[in-house]
Formats: sequence, structure tokens, C-alpha cells
Amino acid sequence: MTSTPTSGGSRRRPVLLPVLAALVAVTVGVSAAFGGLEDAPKEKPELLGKGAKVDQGRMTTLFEDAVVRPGGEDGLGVSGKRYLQIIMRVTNTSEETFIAEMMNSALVAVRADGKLIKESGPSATTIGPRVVTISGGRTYGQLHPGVPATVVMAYELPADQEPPKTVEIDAGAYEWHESFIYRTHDWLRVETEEPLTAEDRERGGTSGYAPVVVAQVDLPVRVEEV
Amino acid sequence: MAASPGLVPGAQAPARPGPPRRRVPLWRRTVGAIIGVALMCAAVYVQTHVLTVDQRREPLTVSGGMHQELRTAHFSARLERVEFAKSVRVKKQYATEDSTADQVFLIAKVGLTSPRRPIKITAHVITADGLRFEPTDRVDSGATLGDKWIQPAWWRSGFYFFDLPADKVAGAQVVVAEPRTLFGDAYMPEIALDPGLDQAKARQMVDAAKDVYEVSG
Repeated sequence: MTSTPTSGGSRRRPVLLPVLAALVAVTVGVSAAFGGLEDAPKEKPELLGKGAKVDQGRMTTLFEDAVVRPGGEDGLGVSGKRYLQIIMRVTNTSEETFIAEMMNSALVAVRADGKLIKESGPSATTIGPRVVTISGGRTYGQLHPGVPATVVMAYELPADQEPPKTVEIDAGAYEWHESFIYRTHDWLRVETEEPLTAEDRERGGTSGYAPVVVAQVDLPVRVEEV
Repeated sequence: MAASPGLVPGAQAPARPGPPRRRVPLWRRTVGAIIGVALMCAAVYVQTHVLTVDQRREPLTVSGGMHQELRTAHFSARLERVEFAKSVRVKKQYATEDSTADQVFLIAKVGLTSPRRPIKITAHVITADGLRFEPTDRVDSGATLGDKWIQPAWWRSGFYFFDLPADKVAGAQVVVAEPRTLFGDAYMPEIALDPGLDQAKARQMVDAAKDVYEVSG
């Protein structure tokens, strides 16, 4: 890039170098002003309590209650056993029916008194909780678009275990994702790249992904006796 | 070997004698420019009609109304009746099973046949605003046509049950198709059956919904 030659002479004034120098200076200055090339600190998930409503992209979830209850009621569980039930009011905000099991992956992690009782992903060691919709004392499994439904996520408590005092729920989110290669759309859970854990490396993983947590909901646990 | 004249700076190729260039008049240049811009605009406009990838992957739809026999290469269908009910009672050999709708049950009686091979056909409802409702799991699937084999050369009639909000009934269509398989045909046909429910008719039929609808399972 040079200035247009003056009418008579053939002398060219260099413009490229000063412009480049100015651009470099501005870039360095701006990135330094915004904290350099370090990764931005991660956004902390919102901390919410009982009655909180969370927009999870594909559904909105109202966290109503957590209760330890003997089985056999509402067609959920077996009598003689106790279940920790997380009760939610879920509205399907997508355009298609989905099954209640979807909430199992929409809620990324569930901790009872700080101990993880639900995990998702390839390292999960349990098959997970039972997730159903409840209506009129019966269990079903569908969430139709735009129709709110009561969803119960039930964990069996071992016979000798004290009921937990609180549960913490990490709510993830879904997005209407466009495939980079095929340009098709699908609902996918929002995930971010994470540094590899020792466990990942053991399994031969080359990159680590973890679901994004948009909100953490803490619910006190009620205990209902028989 | 002498360099070709084009590569030597300053050395011009000798001008070939040709017919003298005529100057193009200004109005013709203007018209040419306008036509060029118009063609470019048309080309860009035509691109807006290109199907998106999601649209290209959609099944090929045959549409029709009540009692119309609609054919595709894989199966034929006709919508025989549409009714509404608040609950459905499935009578089995040794038991009856009652199920109550969360909203209101749309009960579609559909007749199906296949030209060549036995097939199973699933159904879903597409509402006027494009929401897709799968058949409800409140009614035992054994009582629905989705569970039955459709044999070639004869018609089989049966029910599909949908749990719909009353305000989504107007303009809803029942769509029947073969279930999608992961490595199946890329262009599966489907049949959209329109019961022709406008606002007034939909409200009237939902208000007149039966308390109990009995079917055998």
C-alpha cells in the first residue's frame, strides 16, 4: 500500500509501515487493557433456592421441592423403601414432545449434603435416577410442547442411610445447535472445553468437555414418614 | 532464445491491424449496467428459495382431507374419523384400563394399507403453529394402530390418541409415517391428514368431548 505517486515525481511515501505499527500498538494496548491473553475468569452459576425458575433453553424448570418419601405412592417406587424425590414443574419450550428422562441430562449434577449422587457422562457408575411425570396419581413419561408437567426425579435411599439435609442441583442448558459440517439443527447440551482430568487420560481421551452449569439450586430436604 | 515480447518490460507487442473500435454510446452502457445489476439481484433473490438442509431432510409429504385415500409408494392412508374425549377406557380380555387426559384426547381413526410389505406406521400431530405432539403414553400403545402390523393388500383401521391443549386443536393435522431408522431411506414419505378443524368447529368438538371413550385393546 503506497500513496498515489505525485504528478511529476516517482518518489513513494511508505504508508504501510506506520499503519501496521499503529494497528499493532492499538491491539496490544486493547488486549492489555482487558486483561491480556489470559482466559477470562469463568462465570459463576447463579445460586438459587426453593421455588426458583431456571430457563434451560429446551425447557423452563421450576424447582418446587425435595422430599424423602416411602415408595408406593403415586405409582413411584416400591413400598418398604425410601426415595429422595426432587419435584419440579417443567415446561417444554421446544417444538417437539420429549421424554421426562431428558431432565436427567438437563440437570448436570445432583449432590446430597455435598456428595454427588447423580453423575452423567461416560464415567457414570450408576444408571441414574428414575425420572417420570406424575399426573392423577400415575406415572407417565412425556413432556408435550408448551404443556407444563410435574416431573419427579427419584433416588432410592439405602436402608441404613440417614436422609440428607439439603440437595444441590446443577442445572445445565440446551441450545438449538447448528452442525458445523451438515448445517442441520438439533438440541444439544451446552458444553465447554475443560482441561483433561487424570481419569480422562486414563481412558485415552484427548480433549475434555464439561456441561455448562447455568444455575445451582439448593433445596432443603423434607422428610415424610409413612 | 529471445524472450517473448510480453515478458520484456517496455517492449510492446506490435498492434495488430483490426477494424477501428467504435465507441459504445452512453445510453447503451447505462442500460447494460442496469440489466447487469438486475441480473445480480435476481440471482441473489433466487438463492433465498434454496431449501435449508433441515428442509431437505424432511420427509416427502402427501396431504389431504377427511376420507380421502392418499397414496405414497410405501403405504396409503385415509382419515376416517376424528373425535375428542376426556378419558379413554381400554377394554382388554381380562381387565379394563382407564386413562384421563391432561388436556383433551384427540382420537384419530385412521385406515392404512401397504402395497408390498408389512409395515408399522407411527403418527404425530402438527399443530397450526408448528408444534409436534407425539401420541400420548397415557393410553396403552396396544390399543393404538402404531403397534399393529399393516399387511399388504387390505385396509386396517385403528386409533391414534393425542393429548392436546384445547387451544391447539384448531388447524391441527395428523401425520402418519414409517418410523425413522438411523440408516434408512433418506426420503421417507409421510401423509398429512387434515381433519379441517377451524376455530369454531374445533371449539364445538372439544366442548362436546365424550367423558369416556371405549376402545378394545
